[in-house]
Amino acid sequence: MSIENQALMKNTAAQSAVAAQDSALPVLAPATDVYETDQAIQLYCDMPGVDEKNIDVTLENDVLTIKGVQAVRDYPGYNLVFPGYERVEYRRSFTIAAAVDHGKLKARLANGVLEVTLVKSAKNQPQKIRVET
Amino acid sequence: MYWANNIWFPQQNDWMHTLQKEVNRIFNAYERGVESGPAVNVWSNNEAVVVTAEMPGIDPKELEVNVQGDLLTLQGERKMAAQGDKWICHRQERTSGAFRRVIRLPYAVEADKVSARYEKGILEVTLPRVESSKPRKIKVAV
Repeated sequence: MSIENQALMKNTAAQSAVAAQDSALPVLAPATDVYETDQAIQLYCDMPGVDEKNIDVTLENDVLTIKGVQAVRDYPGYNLVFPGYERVEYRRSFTIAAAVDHGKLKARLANGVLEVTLVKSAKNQPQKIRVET
Repeated sequence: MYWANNIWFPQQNDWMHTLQKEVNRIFNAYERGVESGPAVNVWSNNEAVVVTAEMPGIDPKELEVNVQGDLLTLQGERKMAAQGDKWICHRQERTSGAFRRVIRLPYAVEADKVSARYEKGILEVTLPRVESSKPRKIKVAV
């Protein structure tokens, strides 16, 4: 085995350790607001303490899944004297009733709030039908 | 909300009485707003206290951090951006409005050396201990 390969193995082992540790976190469903117009659907999820790189938004068929793991917040040399909340993983799925454009899925994270925008497919926009006489 | 002790459940019914007391406690706490305000973690050692609070989606300008002696007050208001008339609301779970939380720290802190940082929806306040309250080693004379 070459040195590069060993390093790679170590790296994946470290990553899987992180993944195993993360899956042991308590799972919470983030508080969410959902809005809709004729053209789009918008979701706002409260996910404080989550980095952009630890957020996973996927749209598979008609299920939108939101996942996010809170960053480790530790103060070496300090004792936690009042634990009011713990590090969690946010996870929630929504079934989208409207046909949406999978290419136009947008997600933005600001101040601990995730904003997801789904644009409805053009072919499913309401159309006015002229009644012939 | 409070049920008188003897109306619904006679006191001899032990587990019912316990349940009733527990329900009353929860509702009393709710009415007094004991557990209201953002979730807070307090870290400390002999030199300083660090308080972190989960408060997503807040404009840092709307946040007020006050210190007096060993009392830290976090207050502010979460304002939701108006979504507009054409949007239909399907679900509204996120809370908004004013909040206030007072935290008693383990010791008095240096009010003019307190620093606060708001990042990714988490407020972090660092409060150094007042010099006069730090523990001191006293030599025993022989």
